[in-house]
Amino acid sequence: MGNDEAAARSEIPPGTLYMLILKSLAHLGPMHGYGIAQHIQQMSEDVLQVEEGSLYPALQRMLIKGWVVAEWGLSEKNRRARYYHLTPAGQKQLGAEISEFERVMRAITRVIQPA
Amino acid sequence: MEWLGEFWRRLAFLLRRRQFEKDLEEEMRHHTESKADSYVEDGVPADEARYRARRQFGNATLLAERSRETWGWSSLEVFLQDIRYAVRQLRRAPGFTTVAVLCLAVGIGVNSTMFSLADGMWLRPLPVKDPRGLVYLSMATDRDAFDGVSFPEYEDFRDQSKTLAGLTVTQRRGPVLTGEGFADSTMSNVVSEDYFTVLGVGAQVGRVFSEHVREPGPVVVMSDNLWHRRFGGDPSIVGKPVHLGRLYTVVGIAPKGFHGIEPWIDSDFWIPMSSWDPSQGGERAQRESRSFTALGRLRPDVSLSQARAEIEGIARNLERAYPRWNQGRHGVLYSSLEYGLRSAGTMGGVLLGIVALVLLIACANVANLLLARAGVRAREIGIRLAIGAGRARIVRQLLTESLLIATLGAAAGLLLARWLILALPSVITPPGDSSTHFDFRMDTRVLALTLAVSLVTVLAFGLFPALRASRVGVIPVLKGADPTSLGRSRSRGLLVVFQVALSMLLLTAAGLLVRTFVYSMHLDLGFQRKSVLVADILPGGPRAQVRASYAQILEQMRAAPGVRHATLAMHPPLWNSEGGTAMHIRIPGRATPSGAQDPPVKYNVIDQDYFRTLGISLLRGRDFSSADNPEAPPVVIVSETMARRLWPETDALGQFLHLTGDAEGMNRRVVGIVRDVRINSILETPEPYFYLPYVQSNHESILLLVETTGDPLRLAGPLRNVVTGVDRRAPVLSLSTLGLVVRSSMYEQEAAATLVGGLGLIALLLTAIGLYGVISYTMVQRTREIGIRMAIGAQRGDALRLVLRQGLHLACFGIAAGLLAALAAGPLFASLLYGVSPRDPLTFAAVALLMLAVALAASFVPARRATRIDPLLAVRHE
Repeated sequence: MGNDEAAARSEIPPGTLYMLILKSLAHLGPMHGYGIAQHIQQMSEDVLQVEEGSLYPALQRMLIKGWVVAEWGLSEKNRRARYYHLTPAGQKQLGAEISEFERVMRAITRVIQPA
Repeated sequence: MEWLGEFWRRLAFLLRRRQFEKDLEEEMRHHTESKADSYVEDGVPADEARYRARRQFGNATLLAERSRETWGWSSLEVFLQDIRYAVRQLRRAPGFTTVAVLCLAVGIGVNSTMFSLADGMWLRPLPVKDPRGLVYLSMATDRDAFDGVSFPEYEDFRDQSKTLAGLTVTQRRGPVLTGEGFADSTMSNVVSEDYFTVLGVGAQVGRVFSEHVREPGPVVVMSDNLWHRRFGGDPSIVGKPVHLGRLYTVVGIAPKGFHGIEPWIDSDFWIPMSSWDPSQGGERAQRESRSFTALGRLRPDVSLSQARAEIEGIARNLERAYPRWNQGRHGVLYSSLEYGLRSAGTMGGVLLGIVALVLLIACANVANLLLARAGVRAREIGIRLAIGAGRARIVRQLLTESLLIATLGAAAGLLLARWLILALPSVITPPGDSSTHFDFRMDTRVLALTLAVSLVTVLAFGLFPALRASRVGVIPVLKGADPTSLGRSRSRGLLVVFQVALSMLLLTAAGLLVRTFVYSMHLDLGFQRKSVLVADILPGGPRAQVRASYAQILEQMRAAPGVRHATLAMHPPLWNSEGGTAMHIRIPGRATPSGAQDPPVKYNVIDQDYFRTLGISLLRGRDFSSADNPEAPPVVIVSETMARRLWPETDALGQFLHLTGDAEGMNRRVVGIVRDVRINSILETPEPYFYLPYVQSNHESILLLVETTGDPLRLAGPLRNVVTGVDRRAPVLSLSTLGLVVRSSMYEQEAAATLVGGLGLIALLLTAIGLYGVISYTMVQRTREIGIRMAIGAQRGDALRLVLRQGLHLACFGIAAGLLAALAAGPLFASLLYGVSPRDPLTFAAVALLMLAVALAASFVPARRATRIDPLLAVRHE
């Protein structure tokens, strides 16, 4: 923990947070907010760190849109935690977001590739 | 469909807010604790771990708020919050709130009433099928854009037009309904057979007549009103005969609320032309008798401009075919909207403009009040700005207050309007008129328009003060600078000047209209006597008997006490006969230029003593006498204008003229010349007019005129007795007096003066309130200054003069601006004025003086308060 760690972290590109959260849930199954954040950080090898200030509002929006549903449960440490699971609509959204992301990435790659 | 699910979820959030917030809080706590645990596992001491975790979490409050916002109800919550706050603010300043709400109530109430008037008179669609699709046909000339059509013309247009899907005509007549023990004169309509078809109106009981069905005998359709009034709503009247001069069979009852095409005039019957006049002649064949109103519908695929072109083409054809009667006549089609607006005319426009001015003045008052309050609340606003409220937020909150004031004002205004709407018909109904019934109501359209206007007023009076108020310098206010000095601005003074100018405009208009009314009251109408009873009697029997009855009635009335003179006439002056009848005349021995028609001249049929009864001067010659009987040579009396026009070089006395109704070769000799008399309207220019003796004419319906010494109506009883004595079954259909007739002819001017005068006074009151507010406010601001002046030797009188001078200063600017505006706006309503120019200096001067006086009065109270300032206290005043 320290400044060198902060330097290694990058911002989450705008528009990809939902995709990352949805994928995490698809991977993990039902999980609470902290767990999702940890998962993203670990899977990205500490490059991507989700700010709590963005995570929870994003989760709220996904609840509104019906991509996830939430339920109270007990965590591993026997604490009350709110668990989110993916809904079928969320699954569909995940697929859509991934294909869109890949499309954009391919396009960017084409642009920056050496001639 | 996804948005539906989303909407439900958002709604669920709204209902379970508190649960949500607890959930979020707990969730965040869990997150923080988990993070702390992970730090502890990394070897950080427990306290440090917790502290770091919490710090890394960030601003929890902000997060909570952002989470709440994503649910999307934040604007609603903010709005509710603003409303609660606004209510508190308004309750804390009851004086301000009351004055503001009252001013708005007056402005909005008056406007709402005027909408209801415009709606009831001109704009409400008729209760027929597709009322907006109706078009009106007029045979216009260059002078008169709105003339009616004649029956043969209607038939021509109906047959020749390919663009019109249907055309119908209607004409008002007044046949007398007689029954068992009663005789009513009716307001009926003689219409073409396709009237109900074109309008798309059916009967509520029975059926209506149409152009497809040939009726075996004369038929009528009865109105719902008359059906209930006279026949008790009994359906068995359908199929039975009624006596309207002759027998007609009632085939049906018109729907409730259907009054024909002029909704504010009651209608009793609709009579098809084929029943009214089965012959092919008479009015059906008279091309120049344009007493019918024509309306129809366009074919669905035809545009109005196409139809207009075709109608004009047909009119041209008619002009070629009948040059004698259709010369210079254009066929013009008006859409129902144009027709409605045309009926409203300048008067309608002026009225609506004036109430808009009143509303503007009221809004200016409220704006001024808000500006003053802004000064007082500067500290509160400064603090709010300091702790982070955006300027937009402040403006929004202030606008919410304005919205609240406007809502209260609109509610109170609607209450006021309800009351005014009830009182309105009595102001604008012509006196003695029982057939007009105005139906003014506050229906959805009026309400919607009022609401729209109220919302606009919020912007009008609320926006500027809100913007100014939010521009508070935060630091000075927090440091305790004088908050009231922030209310000192030129805006308030400008607003008052604006109000004064508008009021001046209004009052000038009112003054001019009042002068027009006074002028018309003092016009020389050509006849002197007003206490004349006018009675419509219908003796029965053949013509000889009718005349004998009249002769007997006259003789007895002349002998009755309280009677000075009695006579008969077709109609007295200014009688509402819709133009008056005319005959074509020809001077024997004089050639008429070819192609021109014999000029039609209006006339009256009278008995002897007519001129004496009414006090019309006989200029030369003699009145009709008993020497003029049916066997004697036919005579005529002409008006001075007629004498001058037709015989410009010679004396008209002894000349001859020929009437188209008379037998060939029969010429009438002019035996007398009388002064001109107003025939149809008090403001007309004199036209030629002549008089025929009753005994030498074929005219039937005649009125009895009795000049009395006292109130003419006191002779109603004796008259009825005389009539019953002569002919037991003769009804007295109506009784009126010439005084009422004269007043009725001036009712337009009277109504205009009353309405606009009333509005002008309201505007004046509102302006006085505004002036008072500003003057007293500035006086308070200058308390310190005045105190200092008094401390160094100024007298109380000087303080008084100081404040008064300020009031006069504002007023003078406003008066000047208002006078300029009035001069500019004069031509707009010059058409409503008579006998006074729109730039009449007397009126302008009087109004200016009135405004000055009011300004002085409004400034006086604050000025007196200024004199009572204690210099010692004032100097310490902040």
